Amino acid sequence: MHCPVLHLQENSLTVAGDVARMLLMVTSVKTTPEEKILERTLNLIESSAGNRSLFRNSKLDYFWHRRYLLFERFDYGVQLDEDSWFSALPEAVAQYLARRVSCPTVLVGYCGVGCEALRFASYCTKVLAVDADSTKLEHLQTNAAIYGVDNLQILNHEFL
Amino acid sequence: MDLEEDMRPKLSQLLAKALSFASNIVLLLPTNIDEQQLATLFSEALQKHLPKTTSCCLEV
Repeated sequence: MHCPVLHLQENSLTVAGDVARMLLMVTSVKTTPEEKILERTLNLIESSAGNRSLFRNSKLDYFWHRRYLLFERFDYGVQLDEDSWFSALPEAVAQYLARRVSCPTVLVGYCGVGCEALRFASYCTKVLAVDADSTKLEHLQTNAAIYGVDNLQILNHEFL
Repeated sequence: MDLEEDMRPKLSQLLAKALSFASNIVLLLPTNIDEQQLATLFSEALQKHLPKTTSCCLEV
């Protein structure tokens, strides 16, 4: 595969995120399938590097090792804030729950970054996700796009 | 963990809100809760917000 990174001086780059950004600038003018795959891979590198930096020299390293339990598609650019690492439900558990209690419409209160809401969306006709934290909802929107969910309605509101 | 004092919002408030528009409720709670207190809170909330003829099932 033709890779434009060969023309860059890698010595001047410090972190994977910088590499990803520069390569994205280079590849943005190309539209071939190979270039699209490369761009997607670089997006993954950048987002993983961002998530990883949260845990560097931290006691929370335990949760980093559980990342694929929480989101199987973590490497596709799934976003979580610091609180969500504690409160997220493993994807397999959420899937079991969604299959067990599936019904036409579900309201998920305090949805956070959407571990449960995304699973419910694959079994229910319509899912309403409510949370007061707009940052978490932005992450949820990103995660919903990664999982290809289109029947999820996000509401920024206090549940009570 | 006390479901009323250690939780914000309180479980009784959540139940009251949820029962006002839904009959099927799934709660995700930590494991270190007092199950006796959970049953009591559910019982009180159901008595207050559901008609007496409605049957209910609590799975833990």
